[in-house]
Formats: sequence, C-alpha cells, structure tokens
Amino acid sequence: MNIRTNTLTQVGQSIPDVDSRAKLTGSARYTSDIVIDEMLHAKVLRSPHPHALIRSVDVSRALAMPGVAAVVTGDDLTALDFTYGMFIRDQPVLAKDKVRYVGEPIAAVAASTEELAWRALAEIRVDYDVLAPVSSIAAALDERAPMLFGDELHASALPPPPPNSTWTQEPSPNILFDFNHGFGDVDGWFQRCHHVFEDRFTIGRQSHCALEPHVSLARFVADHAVEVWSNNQDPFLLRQDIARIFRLKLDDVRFHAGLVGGGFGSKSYCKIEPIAVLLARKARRAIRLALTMSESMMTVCDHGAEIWLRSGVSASGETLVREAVVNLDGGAYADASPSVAMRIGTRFNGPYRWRAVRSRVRVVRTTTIPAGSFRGFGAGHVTWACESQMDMIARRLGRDPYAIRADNFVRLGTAGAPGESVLDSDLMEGLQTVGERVGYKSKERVPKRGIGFAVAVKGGGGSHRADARVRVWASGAVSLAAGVTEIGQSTRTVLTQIAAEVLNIDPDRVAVEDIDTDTTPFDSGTHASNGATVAGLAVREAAEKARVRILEFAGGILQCTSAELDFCNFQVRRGENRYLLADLVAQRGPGVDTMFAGEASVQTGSGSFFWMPVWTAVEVEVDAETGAFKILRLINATDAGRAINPQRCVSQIEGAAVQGLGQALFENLAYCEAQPLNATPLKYRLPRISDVPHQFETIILEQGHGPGAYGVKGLGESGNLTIPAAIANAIADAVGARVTDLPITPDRVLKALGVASKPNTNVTRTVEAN
Amino acid sequence: MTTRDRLTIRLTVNGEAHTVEISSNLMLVDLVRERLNLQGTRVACDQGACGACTVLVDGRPITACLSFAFTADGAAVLTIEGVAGSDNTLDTVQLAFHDSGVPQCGFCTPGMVLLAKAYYMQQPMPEGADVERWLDANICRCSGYQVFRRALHSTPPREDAP
Repeated sequence: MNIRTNTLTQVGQSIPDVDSRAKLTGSARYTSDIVIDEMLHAKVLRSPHPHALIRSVDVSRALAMPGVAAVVTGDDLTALDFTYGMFIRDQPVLAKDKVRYVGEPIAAVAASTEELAWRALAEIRVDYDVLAPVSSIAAALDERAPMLFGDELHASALPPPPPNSTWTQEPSPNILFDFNHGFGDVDGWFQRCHHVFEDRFTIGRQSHCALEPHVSLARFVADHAVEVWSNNQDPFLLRQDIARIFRLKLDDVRFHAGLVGGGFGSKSYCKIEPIAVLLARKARRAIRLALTMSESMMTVCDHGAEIWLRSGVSASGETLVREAVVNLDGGAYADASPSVAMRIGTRFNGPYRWRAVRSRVRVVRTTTIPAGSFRGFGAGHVTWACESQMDMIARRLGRDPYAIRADNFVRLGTAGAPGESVLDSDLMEGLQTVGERVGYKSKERVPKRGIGFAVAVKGGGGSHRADARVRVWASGAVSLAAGVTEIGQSTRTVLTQIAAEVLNIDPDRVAVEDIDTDTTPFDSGTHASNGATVAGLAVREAAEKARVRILEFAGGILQCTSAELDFCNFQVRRGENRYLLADLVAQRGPGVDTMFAGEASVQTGSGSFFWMPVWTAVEVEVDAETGAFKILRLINATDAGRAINPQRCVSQIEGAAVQGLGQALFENLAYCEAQPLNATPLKYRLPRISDVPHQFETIILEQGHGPGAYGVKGLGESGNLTIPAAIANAIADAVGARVTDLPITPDRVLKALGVASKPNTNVTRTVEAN
Repeated sequence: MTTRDRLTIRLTVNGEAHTVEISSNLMLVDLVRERLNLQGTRVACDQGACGACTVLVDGRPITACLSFAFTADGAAVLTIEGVAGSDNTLDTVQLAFHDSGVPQCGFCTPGMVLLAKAYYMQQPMPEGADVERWLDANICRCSGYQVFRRALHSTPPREDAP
C-alpha cells in the first residue's frame, strides 16, 4: 500500500540537492579547504610495530629543525584525562608506553609546511621493545596470547543493556566486551524442533574509504578556550570529549562542522581531534592536521567476524529457535565496538518470528586497526550469516527459499522480539516487489544461472535528541539551523523541504546554517539514519511555531484571529485578501522585530524509533570451471515510509548497494602475518562503474508507517545489508556451491563447487501469485 | 633548497595566464589549490587511484596529485572553477549531473565532471560503453554510479560536434 495525499507541495518532490550547484562548480567548501591565518601543518608519526613497548621517544632532532614549532608525544598527556572512547575509554590520544597496532599515533609534529612536518617525523627516534602480536580472533582467545592491556577496567560510559540482555566489560584484557542476549526457552525449543542446522560464517574487514580523509583544525582563542573544525559527524559529542580530555569547561570548547566528504561510519565519535588540540596548545598556534587516505584507513575500519548459527525449525520450515555465537575483531581499541556488539546481539531474529533466541557476542582485542562504526552498525554482519543460513535451511528441506521467508516474516504492527518496538513495514510487499521484478516465478531456468534473495530489517533513530530552529524574516528569507551533519545524505535538502512545506514557500528561500556548537541547536549525532526522521520532526515543529507567530502577529494588525489567516509565499492571506508580511511589519513602524523564530526539541526513546527494511533479489551466472561469476541483475527495494525526496532516497540506496557489492566481491582489509596488507587506496579494491551491473534497479516503497514528519523514516543504512547474502544465495541457486566466507571470491566459489553435493534444481519455485 | 630546485613556469589556468616560481617537487594539485587558491580540485587518495584531483591539461584528464607542476609548463590547465560559464551557468556535463542528482557528498564531483568533459571534448559521437570505460578511472564512494549513467545517457553530444 502506498499512501499519497495531494495536498503536499514540497514533500515528495525530487528537487536537486541544495548544495548541488556548489558541489558541481567547485565552490563547495569542506573542512579540508579551511585555511586559518598563520596556521601550522601537523603530521603524525605512526607505529611500524603491531605490539611493542616504547622505551623512549627522542624528538630533539625534529625540534631543532628550522620551521618546526612543536612536537607532542605520550609525555605531553600526563596532566590530561588522555584516553577516549565513546563507550569504553581505552584509546590514548597518543601511544603512551605501548603501541598496539601498526599505524597507531606515537607523536605529532607542527611545522610551517606539511612537507617540513613530514621531514621532521623522520628525525624522531623511537626505541621499541617489540612484543608478540595478537593478529587474529583465534590468537586473541588463546590463553597463552600476550595481553594488550593490564587487568584494570577502563573508565566507561556504557548505556544500560537492552531488554533481555546483559554485558560484561573487559572480562579479560584481550576481551573488550562480552554481550549476552536472549528470550524464550531456547533449550526446550531445540529439543522440540524437527531440524537443527549449524553453520559457520566469516566476514572480512571493510574499509570506509570516504573520499575526504579525516581533517581537524584547532586554535586556542584564550588559554582556556579552544575552537575546532573537524569533518566529524558528532560535533556535540566531540565538544564533550575535548572538554573532558583537556579539562576545559564545555562552554569553552567550540566545534564547527560544514560539508563532510563522506563518512560511512568512519567520522563518528572522537578520532584525531585531540591530537590537533594538543598541538595547538603546545605550539600556541592554529593547527591543521589533515590525514592522508592511507592514514584514515589506519584510523578505523569495520569489524572482521566469525559467526556460528544454530537454528531449529519445524518439519515444515517454521523458524522456532536460534542460537548465535559471534566473535568480533575489535582491533586494538574499543571505539564503537561495544555498541556494535549490542546491535548485533539483539538482531539475530532478523525479519522472522522466532520462539526463542539466544546470542553471545564477544569483542576481542587484536593488534590491528581499531574497528568502529560502519554503515549498518553490525546489521550487515548479522544479515550475511542469517540470510545465508535461511537459504541453506530452505534448500536442505527442499523448500523454496522465497516461500520459507514469506511464511516466517514478522507481520506489520507486531514486535519481532519481546521488548522491541513494533515493525512499521509490510515485509511481504517488499519481497513480492523484488520477486516480481526479477521474474522469479515467470522466468525459465537457464543452466548456471540462479536467483537469490535476502531480506533484512535494521532499527534506526533510537536514543536520539535533535533540536532545530527556524527563523523567518519578513523580507523573504528563512534560516534553518539543526545539528545534523551533511555527509552526503542530503539532510540539508530534506530538512529544507520540510521547512518549505510547513511555511508554504519555495525551498530556494531557505538557507541551512553550517554547524557551530556555540549557536546551532543541539543534536546527539548523525547516526542510525536519524536525520530526516528525528531532526525532521524538530524542523517541522520549529517551522510550525514560526508560522504560528507570524499569523498571531498578522492577526494583531488585521484585527482578526490567526485562525482566519493563512501564510503562503511570505504573504498573509485572509480570504481573498493578500498582505505581504513585509508590509504588515512596516505598518507597525520601527521597533518591531522583523524576524519570527520557532524552536523545537525531539527526544526518541531507547528502542528502535523506526525499522529500515531492505529486500534484495540478485541474478547471477556462474562459470563452473573457474568459479568466476557475473551479476546479471541486482534489484534492491526499501521502505522510506514517505519519501521526502525520492531521488535522494534512490541515490542513498544505490550507493549503499554498491558498498555492499564491494564487500561481497572483493573489499577486505587484510593482514599478512601481523602487517596490514592493503591499508592504502592503491591496494584496497573499491567498486568502480564497471563493477556495477547494468540491470541494477532500486525501488523506494512508501508504505506510510514511519514515525517522522509526513510518515518518513530513515533508510540510509539499509541498502548494503543484504547484497552479500543475496549474491551467495544466487550462486547456490545457480550451481549448488555455498560460500560462507566474505568476500565471495572466485576461488572460494570453486572450492565450494568441489564440495557441492548436487545442483540446486530440486528446489521448486513456489511463489504464490497475488 | 638550492636554486637548481626552483624554476619559473608559464601556464594558463582556466584561460588566465600565470607566471609562477615553483619548487621542482611541487605537485600540480598543490599549485592549483594552494598557490592559485582554486580549492575546487580535491585531494582524496593522493595516490592517483581515485581521480578526485582530476584536472585537464591541454584537454587531457590527469591526476593532479601525481603530476609535477612543472609538467604543466606552457600548457592550458582547466580546473572545475573554469567549467561553468562566466555568469555561473552550468555547462552541458554539469547540467546533466545537476538534473540527474549526481552530487552526494560531492567530493568526487569536480573530478568526475572534468573526466566526463574530457571525454565529450575528445569524442564527437559519444557512445555509452565508451564513456563508461572513461569513468572507470575515477571512484565515487557515495553513489552506485547509476546516477552517472543516467546523467550521461541524457547528455547530448557537444553542440559543435560534426
């Protein structure tokens, strides 16, 4: 069911991004373009060892170089609260006494030019005591492994466990977090079900590779007050981090955020900002710290993982009971790992009804790049395992993978698990849509070709606060301020459209302010696809308040109630009469404010504020002799609730799908022994246009059940989740080969072909026609 | 740095003649961004892998992050700032990108515009498959590339094509 009403003029319009022209003509300005007078350039010395004690750092030769203004090392952290981490504060601003991964910052130099700063790094002498690395999940779990940390617990700011969950922080030094979740009588249901299937899946590390690398600028405006520019999506959280680390008052820390050149999770939470502030304090000058993309890749990545699933179903394939055990490779430091573990641990029911589910997710520490947020926040990991296994179960039972999904879907308006918010999408509509589009039932079977499906739902928008301010000037301009970072998701455009809708004006009249924590209304961070939905509600309410103020003002002048009035194109309308707002203001003479402001604040609860579903159908052709395969068709559908701007929704989902495609086919930040193999853009394979199938369709459903303004809900993290499993399922459908490790390389397909017992074609496609 | 390491080059950038004294190891992207203050050219991978720094040198697309500035001596350089008309009217490729909704984060956009523009300058009768081979040089991490396909399939050949 698609809900549409005809009374909306701006919502539902595919207007170009409000920054489109600036981005196309080169006039758009990013943090990497900011130049501060007299600023110094900073570079970071990084560890060549995965694990080592630092005996000494000698910076004297670097400091003696003309043009070098300051060098900071772990010794400069002593008076500070020097570790950070959104949930468990275990990451030092610079390595102190010990390094725990190749690429870890040890020292930073500020010099008059970037080139000089690079040269100065080469003059720093570090004396190491090299320790044995801990390079893999298995190594971390080995009791004989060297420990990355001592026994003491780090300071933490963990949220309370979700319903039916418990967690333990740092149960041992190499285990960061142990999360347990469950509902129902798991052991009882395992005894009662007809079939139990146990499978293991692995997933490589994905690198974000946002095109604008991390960059921060900092300057002290007084001994106790600092101003920071950073291309980070959490300016308000960072303000707290910097205040805490440097023992400053919150009010004395000011963050700016403008356009961000992509993130995908890499720019959430604290990253390099404290290094820039530390140098600015020591050098007493403005600092620009711009990482290379290789350095950004060594700053954060996604989690490698191994996932065991044990699932029990009835004789007919009804999903009954599941147990999941997950080991996440968290890398050297916590970053977002505890939160990712909680998201993973609570999502093993996926889009299906289960009587009982139990999961255990452990985040282990290894001497590798810290793992943090990545688009989907672990939902991709869960979906890879669960949607692969759903297909495997169907084929083992001789059932149609499409039908077994349809039979078990959580229904619209019901909760997928005890304590969860109810599902706000009709999953069957989406599956039917992609099934029909791919011709699942109607197509003749062709040898070596197969069709695979995958479905996921991810929660979004929970535990979030977004404030907004809308100011309307009688002269005909509107200023919109909200703390959501524009990172390429067109938040500024969508919020503009919402304000324009409420105020009955052309979107061109709205200007969105850049973020400045001194003046911008608070936002708890650009996360969980919350921008359009949560900030959208705040913007709608703020615009509505401004509109009410205008009408009350006009009612006073026109001597009528505001209920008799309407506001459109900066005119106040009363019946057939039109009054320019500017004229009404002028009538009151001087001393009257010409600006009408509305402010609003929205706080969501702790559960999922909305659910992002995604349905994928993929058709592949497999060369059984080489294991190579070609994606013939990729169809991806999602539910926007209500698409404020359909074109921008399509762009988000297409981009997510190709990120999922990269993860499925080749993206993998690998280690050889203890050294990173390809943590550099020249060696890390990213999708290019030739990787993208021509038959690639994106469908935005508008089922109308979203909790946001006009029924909108977020979708930015949905489009990538299902791609790897859908491809694996299509390969299994084509040639019977089942790949359970990501990425799905031709050699893995070939290996799986060797063990494939029989072709898949015994599975009948039983799509009910309706 | 010795005097041998400094040299003077003459070039035009977006139609404007410049004489600049540079060091021999200055990269073209730094000349453009820092010396000429044309910041629309982006530095992303800095290894010639992504093409965000693409500029046209005598009509040929090159990765400015890997090109020494002195190699542009005597050349005509076109950066993103020189693509739109003087009254900021978008050129054919920019307009097609605008109408198709190409920019997301926008960081790859200038390089993609120039890459596509170079193609249309060199191929009087463009074909879809060819233009895709060209665009394979550059990386966009936000889009699924479909927006580029939609944009370029809607772009007519340049007006002065035979």
